[in-house]
Amino acid sequence: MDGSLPYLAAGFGLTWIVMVLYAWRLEARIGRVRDGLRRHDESTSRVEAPGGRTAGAGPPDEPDHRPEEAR
Amino acid sequence: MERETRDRRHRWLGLAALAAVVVGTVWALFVAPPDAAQGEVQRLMYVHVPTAWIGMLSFFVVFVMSILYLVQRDPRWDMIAHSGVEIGVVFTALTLALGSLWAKPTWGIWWTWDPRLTTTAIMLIIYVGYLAVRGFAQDPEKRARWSAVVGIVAFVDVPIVYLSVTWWRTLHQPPSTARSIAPEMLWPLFLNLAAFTLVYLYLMLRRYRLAEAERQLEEETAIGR
Repeated sequence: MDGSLPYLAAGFGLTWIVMVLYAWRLEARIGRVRDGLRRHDESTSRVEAPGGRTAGAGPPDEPDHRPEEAR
Repeated sequence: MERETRDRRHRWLGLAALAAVVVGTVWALFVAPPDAAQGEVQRLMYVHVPTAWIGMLSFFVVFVMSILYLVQRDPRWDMIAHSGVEIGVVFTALTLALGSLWAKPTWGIWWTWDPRLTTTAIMLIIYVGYLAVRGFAQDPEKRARWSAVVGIVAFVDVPIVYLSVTWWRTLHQPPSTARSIAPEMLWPLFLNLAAFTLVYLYLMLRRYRLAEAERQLEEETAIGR
């Protein structure tokens, strides 16, 4: 080597680091946006159903056909 | 399901690109001979030239996609152009950094206002401006239209960068051609060019996936508002 080792290490190292970091950051960004989409889908699927019940919040309660004072 | 299949295909392309870059790096550092005049440091050519190639290829794709967008108004062309600019900016910045690392041991300086270096720096600034323009417009249609205009006008600088070394007397060497390089150096250069092109394809596909998801989220939140 003729003293060029630091330049070669820096050049090749920088290239690898930038490419890997950019690809990794892209995947993280894709994941974040997909999470956002999922959260948005979940929130819009909980549409207000008749009687104030929220759709997607589980099955309705069992019917209770007794006079009010007997409950 | 379709998304998972595409993601899997992209992953395979990414792995192929990674393998090609590993082989290219090993060939460049340990197999290719050192340059008769510059010695070992000339090996930086095997990363400097491919990164410059990817930068220019990206900006050419942006130019074509911008024209297509203005003609057809299809948002997919705008998403490809946006992806291309982001990747082009990353690789052009890397080209300048690698050039600087090569300049120090060969020219004795990190930077000089040489026509090739200056026009490349201007190109980088213009495309960073493209990304800034996208942040100004809230309306997706207006944003895409403005970006397409910038994408076309900005491309004027790309041939100037390429021809700067032949138009003006510069410190930078003229473009490398198959006739100006010995075959033992030409093949590793070709391999690295191919490997970096695979990396570019992989990054473009992933960046496009991101643009698609962002657009979907933007549309859905706009409907929900």
